[in-house]
Formats: sequence, C-alpha cells, structure tokens
Amino acid sequence: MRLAQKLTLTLVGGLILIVVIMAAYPYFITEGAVSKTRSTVRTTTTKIITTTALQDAKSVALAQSALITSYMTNNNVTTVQKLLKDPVIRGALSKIYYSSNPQVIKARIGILIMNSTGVYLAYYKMGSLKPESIKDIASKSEGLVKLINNVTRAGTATFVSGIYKFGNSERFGAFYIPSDQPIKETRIAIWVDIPRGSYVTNAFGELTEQDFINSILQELEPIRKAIGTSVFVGAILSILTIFVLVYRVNKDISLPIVKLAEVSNSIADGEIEATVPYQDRDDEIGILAKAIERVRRSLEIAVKTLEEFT
Amino acid sequence: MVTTEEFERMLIKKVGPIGKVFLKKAMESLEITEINNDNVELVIETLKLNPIMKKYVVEIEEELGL
Repeated sequence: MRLAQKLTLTLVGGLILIVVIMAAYPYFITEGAVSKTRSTVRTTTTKIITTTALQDAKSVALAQSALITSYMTNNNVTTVQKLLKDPVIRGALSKIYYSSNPQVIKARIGILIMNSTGVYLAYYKMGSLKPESIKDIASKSEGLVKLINNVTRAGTATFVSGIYKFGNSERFGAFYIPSDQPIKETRIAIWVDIPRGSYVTNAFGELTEQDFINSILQELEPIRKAIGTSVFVGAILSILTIFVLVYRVNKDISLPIVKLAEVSNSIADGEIEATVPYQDRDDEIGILAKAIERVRRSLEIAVKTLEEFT
Repeated sequence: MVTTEEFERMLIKKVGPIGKVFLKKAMESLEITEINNDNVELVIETLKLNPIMKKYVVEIEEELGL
C-alpha cells in the first residue's frame, strides 16, 4: 500500500470515528432528556397558561361584579346570558383571549352557572356567547362533565382542574369558584381551558414567558452538558488522530528516508557492500531503496572489476 | 522468447547502468548482435565470468528458468 493511501486511511478513519462518536454520543445521552423535556414543557406550559388565564378571568369577573348585581332582577339563565352579552364584560374577555394574532393561544373562557334551574356553561362559541346545559355538554365531552360535577360539589375559593377531550382536541381546563358570589342563590365558577401543549404568547406577559423559558433551560441542561462532553471527546479524539498521523509520518517516511540517506552516504564514502534497507517495502520508500541498491550494485561491479584489472 | 531489449532491461534492473556496458562487451566478445533463446545461456555464462556480476546474473537466470 502506498504512503499516501496509508496516511489518507489513517486520517479518514480517525475523522470518521470522531464524527460518529460526536454525532452518536449526544443522541444516546440526551434521548431521555429530550423526551422528558417535551413532556414537561407541554404540561408546565399548559398549566402556566391556564392558571394565568384563570387569574385574568377572575379579575375581569370580579371587577364586573357590581354590574352583574345590577342585572339581577331574577336568578335565571336569561339574566346571566344578558349579563355575559354586556359589551364591557365581553370586550374585556375578548381583548385578552380572542386576539387576531395567530400566535395567541386558542383559550376558551366561560362561566359555569349553578342554581336551582340546573347547571349551565356559558362560553364564547363562533363569536357569540351561548349557555349550554350540562346535558348539551355531555354529548361533546364526558370528561368536562365529570370535571363540572366535581365543581358543583366543591366549595368556594376552590380551584378544580383536569384534562379532558373536547371534540377532537385534548385540553387542559380549570374552574375557579370565587368566594365573592355576585348572584343571589346562584353559584358561578369561572372556566378557562386551552389545548394541551399550547405555547406561551405575549398575551400573558413577561412572567409567564420567563417561567416558560426557565423551565426549558432547566430541562435542557443535561443536553447542554452532553454536547459539551461530546465536543470535549471530539477534541481529544482529534488530538489523538493528529498524534497517530504524526507518529506514522515519522515512522513510515521520515525515519526510512534518514536511514536511506545514511546508507547512500556510506556507499558514496566507499562502503559499496553496505546493505540497503526497506527494499521489501511495497511503497515509495521501497522504490527508493531498490533504486539505491541498483546504483550500489553498479558501483560494486565497476569498482571491483577495476580493482581486478589494476 | 528472449530479446536483446528484454535481457538488457532485466540486467539493468538488477545491477544498474553498468549492466549495459558489460552486456555490450559480452555480445562483442561472442560476436552476436541479437540475443534470443538460442544464445541467451551463452550470454549469461559470459557475464558470469565476472565474479561480482555472477551473483546478480544468477538471479536473471532463475527468473528465465534456465
């Protein structure tokens, strides 16, 4: 094998080894971390957004409690429906949760009304607010109805949340039953739900976004460490490859050339029977050694023949 | 079929440029102008008369199967 081939094979082999290890190492190390991160980010983000949305909804609802009371001539759904059609309330809710920005999460907000006439959930649907009885809800989401049943049994100032399917969408929903109940003989709970795995948006301000970023950074820490280790391993392997390359260049090229030069000098100095090394090598050094040997033989024959005749 | 060119090439390969000189002298002494299968052994025997040349010409002899 020629020297160029040997050196190329050494270099390419070393580089392939480095690339394979650098590519594979983070994958194996971080596969679990990535999976865990995805799961955590989905859950954490969903909870953060829902909780924030609920707090906003609670503020809006409580701020409008005076207005609600003024509408209370009798305690039935029609009155509440009127109440929720109020432009101030609706505007406040729409402002937060129905942005034209496509990046804003598709949150749903509503009010659960619980009184002697039954249990109703009023929420925006196709741009309008429509109260639906629990029977109507049951046909759309059994999980949500189970959650609502828990809400009806819960006390005030209570937070009830859960995951359920609504249509084809898997959602995280939360109810808050405020202690300040503005409607006589009627209990209300504020409801917010969002699709699972939603991402945080500007709609929820810096705190939520920072929480989101922090949670990701925390989960990405093992990946960062793995990549750092991978780069370190790659650097060590690169240095080793260079050392091997230098060693082989020295052993296979430099040293034989020095030895052949020494033998050539010996022959030139009159040692015409000197042994020329490396003639058995099948590379450029072998070619050079064989050429020197031929010159040596020529000199040997010429010199000894001359000696014989003189 | 051994030719002059081929034999000269083999000899030079073994002993270098001095081989060409010795071959020319051997052919002159044998009064031949071409080397072929009939006279190659005679040429080799002539070259072997030089004791230094002999040890290398033996290698050619083996390669030619003579």
